[in-house]
Amino acid sequence: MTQLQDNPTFAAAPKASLEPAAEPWWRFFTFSTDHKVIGIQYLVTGFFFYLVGGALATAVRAELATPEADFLGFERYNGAFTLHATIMIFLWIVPALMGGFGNYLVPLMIGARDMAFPRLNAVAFWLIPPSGLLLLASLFLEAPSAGWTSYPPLSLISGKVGEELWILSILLGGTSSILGAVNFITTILKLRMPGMKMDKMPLFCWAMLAASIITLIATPVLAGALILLSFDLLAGTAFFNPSGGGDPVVYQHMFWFYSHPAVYIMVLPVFGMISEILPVHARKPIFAYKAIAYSSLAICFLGLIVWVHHMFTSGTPDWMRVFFMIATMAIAVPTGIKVFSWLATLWGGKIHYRTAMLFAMGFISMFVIGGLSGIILASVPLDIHVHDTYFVVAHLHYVLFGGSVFGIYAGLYHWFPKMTGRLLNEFWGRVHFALTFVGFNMCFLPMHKLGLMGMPRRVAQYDPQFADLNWISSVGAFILAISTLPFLVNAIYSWVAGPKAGDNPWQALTLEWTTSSPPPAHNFYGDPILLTGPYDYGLHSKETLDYLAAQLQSLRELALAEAEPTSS
Amino acid sequence: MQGSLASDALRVGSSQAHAAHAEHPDHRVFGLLMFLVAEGCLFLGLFMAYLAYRLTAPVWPPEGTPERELLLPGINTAILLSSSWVIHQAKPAIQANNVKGLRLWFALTALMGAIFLAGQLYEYSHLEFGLTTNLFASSFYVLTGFHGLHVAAGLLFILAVLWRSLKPGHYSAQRHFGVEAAEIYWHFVDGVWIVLFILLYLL
Amino acid sequence: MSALKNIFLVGIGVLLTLASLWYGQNHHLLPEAAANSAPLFDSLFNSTITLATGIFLVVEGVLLYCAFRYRKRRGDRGDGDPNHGNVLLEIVWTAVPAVIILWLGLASLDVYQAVYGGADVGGHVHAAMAMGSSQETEAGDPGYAYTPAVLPGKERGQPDLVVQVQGMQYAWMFTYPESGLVAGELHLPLNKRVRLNMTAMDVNHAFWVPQFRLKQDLIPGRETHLEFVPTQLGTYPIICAELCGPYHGVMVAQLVVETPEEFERWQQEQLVAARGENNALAWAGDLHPSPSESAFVQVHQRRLGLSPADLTSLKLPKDSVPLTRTGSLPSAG
Repeated sequence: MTQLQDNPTFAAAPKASLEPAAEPWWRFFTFSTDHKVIGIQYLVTGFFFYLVGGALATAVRAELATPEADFLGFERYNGAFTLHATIMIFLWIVPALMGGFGNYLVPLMIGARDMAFPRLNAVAFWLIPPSGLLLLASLFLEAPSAGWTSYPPLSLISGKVGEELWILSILLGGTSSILGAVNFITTILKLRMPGMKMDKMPLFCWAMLAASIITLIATPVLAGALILLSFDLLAGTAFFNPSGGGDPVVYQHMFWFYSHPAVYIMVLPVFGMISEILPVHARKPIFAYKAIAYSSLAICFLGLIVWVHHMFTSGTPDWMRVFFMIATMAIAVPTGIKVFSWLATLWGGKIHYRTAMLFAMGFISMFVIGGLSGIILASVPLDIHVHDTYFVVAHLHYVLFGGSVFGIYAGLYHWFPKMTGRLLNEFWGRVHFALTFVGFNMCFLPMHKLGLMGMPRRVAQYDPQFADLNWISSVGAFILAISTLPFLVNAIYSWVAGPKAGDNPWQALTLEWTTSSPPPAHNFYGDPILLTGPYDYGLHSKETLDYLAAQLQSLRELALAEAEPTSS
Repeated sequence: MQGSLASDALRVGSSQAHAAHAEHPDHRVFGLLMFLVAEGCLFLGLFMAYLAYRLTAPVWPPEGTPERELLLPGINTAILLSSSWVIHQAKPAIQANNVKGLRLWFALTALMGAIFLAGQLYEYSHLEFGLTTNLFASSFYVLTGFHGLHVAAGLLFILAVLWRSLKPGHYSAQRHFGVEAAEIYWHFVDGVWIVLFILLYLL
Repeated sequence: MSALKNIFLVGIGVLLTLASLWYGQNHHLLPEAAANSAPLFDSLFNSTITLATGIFLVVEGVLLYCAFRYRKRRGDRGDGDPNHGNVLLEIVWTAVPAVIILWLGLASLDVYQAVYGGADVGGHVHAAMAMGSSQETEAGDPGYAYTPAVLPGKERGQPDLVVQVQGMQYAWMFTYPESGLVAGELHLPLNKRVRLNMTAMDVNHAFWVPQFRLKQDLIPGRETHLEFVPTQLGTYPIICAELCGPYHGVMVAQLVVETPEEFERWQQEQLVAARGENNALAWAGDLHPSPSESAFVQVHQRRLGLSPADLTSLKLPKDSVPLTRTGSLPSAG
């Protein structure tokens, strides 16, 4: 099942003279200021680190397949889970979503030629490889071993080299994020094409705006925490060291002030992508556009005032626990609004079971489970029992893997044709989805019970009563590891030799689909033209769509005729 | 009729294509303001940590901390704050195409900024507590040091603008983003200092 | 919608509700309940599971229904029904979750008050305050699931027994201030209110007993607290629940709930033994252990029933597991 043929002008590959040359491979290794090149740089780099983080996860699960610490051993195990989480968060999900999809799609979706600050964009990307190299180096020198949360005093006595490598890596990554956020906010607020008011822009842009605001406000506080931690580690100060008058809990506050909103940075763009993907493949407008847009802003605001729910057992006073419990529970409401709106988008639609849609629906089903375990965690008395247990590990993976990663895959399958000009193979996409879905649930579902029954987090050795469930979980992890193979092979092969996609294989209505695949250097031939709203499925007759497609084609020919020979 | 609609759209399309090459507005000031929000949050985080220590310690500053001297820092503060007024005179100057005026005000600001930094270093060298003496001392050095780094960055920015202003026509009434940006940044650094001064010296 | 469809939908609703209610009571996700805090936790947890199951079934059910019913049929090239908003529906699905959240928040507050209220378990010690209602209900009675319950005995903030807890890499030390006893196991008398004053000696740790559903961090430089009444005889694990180093996973101690008479007897035995033994600080001639190291040793020495002489012949290689294979310990005595 590949290209739809019934609307030839809308979907067909452009004539040979109009087809832009794809970027040469070496462009992706340069300091390009083209947001499309940068976006792909982020995506590929991020995916590489996903594989590294995944290998670490496989090592962790190999250790946990049996109760004894007989695979990695105690010290290496702590390094493994520390690096696994750090890499997944700072080198995979955040860069892939914000830097990857954000950069690639936002200018196209708002009809701009590029981001507001293209050179700043390139700088932001090129901070990521050194950030990653520092962590990779720590694998060979000394791995940080105090968890990705790196609480002092433990992080002050777990190996200076590893810890400082970790701190520097995150400082670089955080700077990259902040520069990106400045770019996105300016671009979205200032560079929309004439005629595209805020309430006409695609929901992905709303999501990126909300995520960027969070990034701008919260990431610097983490930088502050890490700077103070560095001083404690290297200069003998005692900000977080009680023996010098300091307070370890101050670190926890500063750390979580960022790290809780960070999870919204890691999920809001995904929410945005799902809001784009569902209408296209269900052939229906998004349900409750305004509610989804405003709920993103609500999540942005609420997300900044709930961080203490990670500290309910840190000797936190009663009043603080109660306040943050209430604020945390409140976030369920805007999130629920989105989920219900997505379901209503599917209702009454005509669902095409392309891989992008499979992952999008998989996202909804898995994220809801993560959200439900999240509600349990929001309640102080319930959290007190499950904090720092495998219940939390289950929750976080359901929202970050079942949520973010499934969403990233949905986005990859959906926009790969636009980015590369070629189609991914749908059969292998389905195999990929099936393996991922099965492996994922097998790995993480048992963890809910493990935590409730008494298994703490971050342990290389555990009570044998938990052996059976851990074994199942580890088998699931191996299946998950294998599941990346069909995707990798599919992506590499299709990029080089897949069938041509044409402008608009999915017959979608957002602006990026009105230009070629891949788009020319300046994104659009001539100026972008808003012919329809972003979600006007079912609102225009086939004749109107054919007519509009013909217009686009004529205008493109005109623009090419008028352009200088060296364009594109 | 499809024919006339097509030609309408084509006409619209081609006129838009010509309009595409017009200057697009400069959003760099907005971008800088967004960046300063982030910088502000960085300092805010550090301030909150300091307040946490200040408000929960039984004794503050901790036992043995020498009395905080206010004269020199007070003078330094006055210099920094007035330098904000000084730099503020530059923009009206360049808006009247007065490059010499711009350079005068910026040079004066740079001088005052350098004096501030020198004053800080002088103060550091004469303080009776070091980085690791106690929690107050550590906070003092880290906070003022961080701020000092930002002052130094601002100073470099001002010097860069001065250097660029040597090139004739680089700054004019129509283009002077560097001037505006340096001023905004300098006011930011000033604002941070006001909070810092109150927190570290007065409270 | 036809009447038949309505009945069908109501039927599904009833089924979902029954399934959720059943699963909420039969999930088998929790260990036994052994303190006053546990039944309060359990009834809140059960209700939350019921709700979560219901929501799960509804959401996934709708998703699956759409996946099947609204799949694109072969040859259909058209678009779906362009229905993109319904104010009433949106109000309902905003209000209903808000109400559920409100319920959960209030129920949680209730349980929180019942377990912790007035006992001041935050990070600083204040004078104990007498507080709380004297309403007595049966813990675990579903009809009174969220009524704060105070078991017979002292009120919150006025414990019968106070124990100092110290956590260090990688052991627990329990000091009974009244008798001066220091032990590596926590013995507690049944049905007496206990207050734990806890601190860490080096890095953060956390005291967790799953059967009590209670947890609190141990933080160096400050004292944290837990207060509870053990209600069931037995031996339960005390698990460290905050990453404290490579051997975090084996930092486990035993909590023994016994009758007050057995508890007294145990204390006496321990005190006699402590007086009779050589000071464990001198156990290994050529080593100069730091205080925490020797406490660590002392604790394990007692548990393993070794004399100081036995220990001198032991060498502990860097990667070895200091405890038994299971991480839990044979019961003392």
